[in-house]
Amino acid sequence: MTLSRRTVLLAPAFIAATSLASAARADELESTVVIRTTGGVFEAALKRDFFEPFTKATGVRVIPVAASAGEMLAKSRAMQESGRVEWDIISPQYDDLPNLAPLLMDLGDCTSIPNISRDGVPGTCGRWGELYLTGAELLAFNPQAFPQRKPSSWNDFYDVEVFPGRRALSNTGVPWGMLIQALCADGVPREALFPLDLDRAFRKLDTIKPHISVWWRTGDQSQALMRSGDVVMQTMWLGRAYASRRAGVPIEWTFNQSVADFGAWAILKGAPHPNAAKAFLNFYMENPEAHTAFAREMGYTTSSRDGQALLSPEDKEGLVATPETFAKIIHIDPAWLAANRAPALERWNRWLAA
Amino acid sequence: MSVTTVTDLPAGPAVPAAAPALRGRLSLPLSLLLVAPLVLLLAWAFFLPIGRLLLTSVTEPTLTLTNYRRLITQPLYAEVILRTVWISFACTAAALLLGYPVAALMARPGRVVPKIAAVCVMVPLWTSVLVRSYAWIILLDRKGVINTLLVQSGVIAKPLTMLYTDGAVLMAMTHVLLPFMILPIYSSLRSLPVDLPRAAANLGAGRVRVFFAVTLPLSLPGVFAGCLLVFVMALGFYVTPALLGGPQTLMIATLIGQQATELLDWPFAGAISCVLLVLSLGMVITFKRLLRLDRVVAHD
Amino acid sequence: MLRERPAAAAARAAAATVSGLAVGISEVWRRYGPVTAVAGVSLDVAAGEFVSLLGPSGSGKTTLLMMLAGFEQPQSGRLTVGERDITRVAPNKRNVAMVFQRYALFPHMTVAENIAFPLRMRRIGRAEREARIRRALDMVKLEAQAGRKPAELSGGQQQRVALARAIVFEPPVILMDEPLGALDKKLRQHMQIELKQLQRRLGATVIYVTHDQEEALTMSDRVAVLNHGKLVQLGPPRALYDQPADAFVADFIGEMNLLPGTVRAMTGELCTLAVDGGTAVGMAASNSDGQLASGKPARVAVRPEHVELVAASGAAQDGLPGQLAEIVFNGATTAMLVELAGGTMLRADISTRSSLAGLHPGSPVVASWAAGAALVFPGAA
Ligand SMILES: Nc1ncnc2c1ncn2[C@@H]1O[C@H](COP(=O)(O)OP(=O)(O)OP(=O)(O)O)[C@@H](O)[C@H]1O
Ligand SMILES: [Mg+2]
Repeated sequence: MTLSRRTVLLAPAFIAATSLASAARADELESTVVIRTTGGVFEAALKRDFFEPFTKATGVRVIPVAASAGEMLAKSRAMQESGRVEWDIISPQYDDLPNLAPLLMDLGDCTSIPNISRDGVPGTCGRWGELYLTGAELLAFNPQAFPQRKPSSWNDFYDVEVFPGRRALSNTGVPWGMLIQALCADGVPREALFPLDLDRAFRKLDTIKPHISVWWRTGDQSQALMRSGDVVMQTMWLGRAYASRRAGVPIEWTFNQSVADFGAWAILKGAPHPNAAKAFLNFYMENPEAHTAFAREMGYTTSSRDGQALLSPEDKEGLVATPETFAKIIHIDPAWLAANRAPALERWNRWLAA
Repeated sequence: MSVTTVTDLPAGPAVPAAAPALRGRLSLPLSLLLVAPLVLLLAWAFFLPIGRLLLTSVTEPTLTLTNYRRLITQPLYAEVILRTVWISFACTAAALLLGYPVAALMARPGRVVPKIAAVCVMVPLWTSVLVRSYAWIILLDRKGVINTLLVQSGVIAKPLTMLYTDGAVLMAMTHVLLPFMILPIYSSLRSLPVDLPRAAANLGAGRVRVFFAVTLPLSLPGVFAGCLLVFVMALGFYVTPALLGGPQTLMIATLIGQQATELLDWPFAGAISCVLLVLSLGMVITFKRLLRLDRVVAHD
Repeated sequence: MLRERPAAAAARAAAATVSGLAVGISEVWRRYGPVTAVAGVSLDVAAGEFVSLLGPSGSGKTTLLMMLAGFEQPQSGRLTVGERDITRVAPNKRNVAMVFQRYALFPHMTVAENIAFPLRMRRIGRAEREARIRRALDMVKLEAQAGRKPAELSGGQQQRVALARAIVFEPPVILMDEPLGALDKKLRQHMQIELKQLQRRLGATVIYVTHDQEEALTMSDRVAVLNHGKLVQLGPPRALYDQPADAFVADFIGEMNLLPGTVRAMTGELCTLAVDGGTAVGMAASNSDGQLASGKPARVAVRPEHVELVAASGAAQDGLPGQLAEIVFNGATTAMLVELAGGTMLRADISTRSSLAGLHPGSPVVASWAAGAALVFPGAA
């Protein structure tokens, strides 16, 4: 194809020239596309349901690159700074897209990706990315520990009298969900959450801190805690909760006051294979069955409306698959996050370590 | 024959120094040529990026010291640095206490026991830190090996919380860093002529006094080297505290990682790195100065 | 002639309390796997005696010394110092000083601290300690070096520090393992005499390991010759030289011609042998079990200084015919190397003054000696 990766690597100055040349055949697909994934079973499912069908349909080979969320952002930024962009598509948090705008290709209203308006749930077009994954950080609990009355909100989590038992929160360096939960538990209505009242949130968190038995660090660990019965309730990612349920662990969860854990496909500015990348974003919304299969396996629903419709009633209720559920999920205000990320994290670190 | 007094004696030959055979044999240009590839590699792959990172800490967004001001004014950083130093120190002390006897065992004359000990020390070195840290998780978990054994044998009624504590991190870090303590001590014990402890015993010293008067002081170069290595490596430890630590176990490397990957604040990450670097270099220099590393005699 | 200096007098005063103790070694065995390092050695050393352990490399000298010092355990046998059985006593409780071959000075301590070490171990008070250190330093003439580290001393000085450290606590027995081995020849000879003097002054019992037979002969009251872990001969230097117990000792001590031959006749102790196309005579060293019967292999041992050479006259002469191969001038004597008819080399040391004029390499000669000057040992080489 016109633009080999090597050329790009060797001579950044070339980019300008070659992209001019390629502008002449703007719609021609490159032979490969580089997509960041989280690796592991997630990547395997993506391959089976999307990457391989994409290659079959278009002839474009998908090169998946595994990287943690942190690595992804750090690398994307480093690539941009050095002028040698090697990846095409990354998968950041959907709610964070506006803050990452300088790194990302502006898709505008997504007219260049027609399938979005055909099958996407509302909001699938996120201007700098395409919503692809809909999960949540939510309250999960062991129903056997609460035969009388099940916890149904973060108020209940914070109520150690009525709902006794060992509890866990997370210690992954991403505290936003827990700050929101604390404010919800303290009675802040969801319209009034932002800007987050950090003083109030930490005051509330202070009350639960002595009762937190474990601060889990990885999703695996959160599953292990439920499996072993080590804790009776905790904050958890939907995919992990769903996987636990499929493994036969007694677990239930509520979307009440849950915080969005939405993933987006986004194309890096200066991506070496922009046409193939856009083609993939479009292809992603092509086939609802693929989405259903993916959601069943991973416990993450996707942005395909038809795909959600094909789910079993039980999955529709347990996953993010109905407008009612969508409506319950709280989204982080990207502007607040952009302005407060560093100091809030600093404060969280100090609070946690104290 | 006339007077024989010792003063009349011709000066004896100085004991031949066991100089490394190659010293001074290679010409300067040749030596330079030989080290050039390594120097270039290090310069390009190591010093350049580090230098750039440190540079950004004072040049971004503009020429400024804000990043350092933030380090000083935000109590979090002083606290975490102190905690890091403290954990590193505890880890060094634990590694010394555990490692010295092992090194002594390895340095014993004989074949079988030292070999086995050496294998036990070296093999963990060949497995990744990640694997060893996960091994600790399996051991220390509430449903892990140790708790299961203790509960089943009736020693304790409820499982103990061992994982995700400072103790777990300390234990695992000590375990991971132990070879770096043992090997330098072992090497200094090995180069200690067996005659010296024997001479001390012969002159009337019991085992304990032989150790404290002769063996220990003469192995100090190894002890210092080991302590320095372990301490400096512990300062920058990342994986083990991240996997095994509790909420309290926040170490400086974790903060650097957070700044670089979560907040994408590289100038500030550079500033923290700079503090870590200064801390490490400071330790090296202090050790060298205070304990006069090179003045602690090479034996033989 | 030794003139005593005031310092030496002081040393003698310092050593006045030392008196040697007898050392007993009886039936001591030590094996390392298949190797027998010490094989049933028995040896009694009198109080104040200087005994050398002499033997080739690997003969068990160091092992024996290490057992006396307590760093090796005998598998059987008994070790005593004075009346005390020390076979199982810990090294630090033996009160037997050892001077190591490589000195084993503590490199992190100064000369004075090294010498103070045994005194500290014995909890000797500060004043007494200082005084003794001073006397010991004085004795080995190292006062000026007291504050230096061993690495800053010459080999000879280090050796003296080792010595001072060993004697400062006035041990009744001093063990030395080739203490002069690392010194050059000249310094070594000086130190030999110095050591011997010191031992006499102190009255200490010394067991001294060396594989240098000259050193053993010069210094010792008695020499114990070891071979393959066995004690082959024990006696005063002169006795070893004149009456070696077997061919090994004969060969090992001093210069010796050992000529293989066949016994022709035994007349009482007098033995006649056929050697390399000639006839040699000597006294039977031992013939308890009739090994020196006619026709049996044997070796005749004769010292070079006892060999007489005459120019071959052509007529039949008694002795061993041969050809002068080389003449080596040695100062007072001249060594004449003779190649016997059968190819064996024979050395004759002739006084240089009387050195045979007219003989030069290639001259035919006949070698002979008085029967009483040679010993005959049974068996082939
Ligand atoms: N620790 C040991 N292990 C095995 N064999 C040993 C050991 N120590 C000594 N030997 C063996 O015992 C024998 C006697 O050794 P030793 O050191 O006593 O000899 P030596 O007479 O001191 O010799 P040298 O003159 O070379 O010092 C040698 O064959 C030696 O190899
Ligand atoms: Mg020896």
